[in-house]
Amino acid sequence: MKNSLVLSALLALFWLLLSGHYVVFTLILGLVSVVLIVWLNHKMGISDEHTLPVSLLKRLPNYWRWLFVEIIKSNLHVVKKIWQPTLDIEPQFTTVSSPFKTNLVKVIHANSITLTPGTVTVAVDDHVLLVHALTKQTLDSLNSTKMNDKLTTLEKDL
Amino acid sequence: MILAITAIALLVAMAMTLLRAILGPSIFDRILAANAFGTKIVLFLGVYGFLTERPDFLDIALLYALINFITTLAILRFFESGVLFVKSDEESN
Amino acid sequence: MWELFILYSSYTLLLLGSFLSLTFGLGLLRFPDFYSRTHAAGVADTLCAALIIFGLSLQSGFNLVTIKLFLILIFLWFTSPTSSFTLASTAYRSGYGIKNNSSKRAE
Repeated sequence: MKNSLVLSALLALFWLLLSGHYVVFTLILGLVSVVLIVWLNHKMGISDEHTLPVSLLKRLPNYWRWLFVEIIKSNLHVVKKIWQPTLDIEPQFTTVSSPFKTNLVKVIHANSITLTPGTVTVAVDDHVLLVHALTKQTLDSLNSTKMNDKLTTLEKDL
Repeated sequence: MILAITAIALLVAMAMTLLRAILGPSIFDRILAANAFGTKIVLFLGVYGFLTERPDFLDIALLYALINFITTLAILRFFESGVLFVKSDEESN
Repeated sequence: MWELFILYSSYTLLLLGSFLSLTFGLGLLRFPDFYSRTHAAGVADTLCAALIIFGLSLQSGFNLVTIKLFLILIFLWFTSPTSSFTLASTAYRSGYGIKNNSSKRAE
């Protein structure tokens, strides 16, 4: 119930921002589409904590800010590697442990690794991610415990 | 002026992406190139909308981003299983 | 004075974004195997898109256009890891480029 309410609020906001035409007819169309989508979501049984983690929403901005800085750092590294006159990369596969209980945080972990250039998640097992790394240095940044700490604090709320 | 330079840089990058799509060598390189090409088109549409002072282009860019995402997933799914809609056990968890 | 500052920072961001998009094209052509090329595509999907969209949003001022620009960016950042992961994992599961990193043959 709480999820459906949050979902309809978000959808209504999304519709209002994209539309830009605020006359009665289009507003009614928007209302109908919001109700239809929430009803379909409910009927498919996908309106729960997994599809819309409400309790996570207030912690996420903090995580995103940290992730943005990480993305900039690894971008600079990869850009440097691309412009080097002689190609100096050691592409390799490696495994990273993902000791999280919930699937959601595991997905966030895998996607954060993919989102930072230089590392791409290739396969997901129970508690192990298979990662392809571009260089030794990106490998080291993977193995630092910083990301795991951040994700553990995220998981506390779930 | 600067917007035009950005648009040209995006077009050059798109040409390079097309070159990779032609060179291959594997199907995955081609799908990667197609996906990256779509991302570049989204950015190009945004820049072009500002260049011609018609921000309506942003709606098209947003729509294109959605379609590009679905296309990549659909092609990969088709490539892997040979059919678009298949009942698979691994999806249930 | 302030408007000039905003305009020039917008130009800087746009030029940096153009540079990154060229970098991405170069990386896509230079890197030797498929998995390395996905890293080059990662540069274009993350920072290049962000810089160009930030640059454009500085020029538009604060209105619905800015919000649409940020929606595009958020959408790109949510979907690009999903499609990269699906691509890489499909390649991995079909056994492409695992035995040796040189990846001469495929399909």
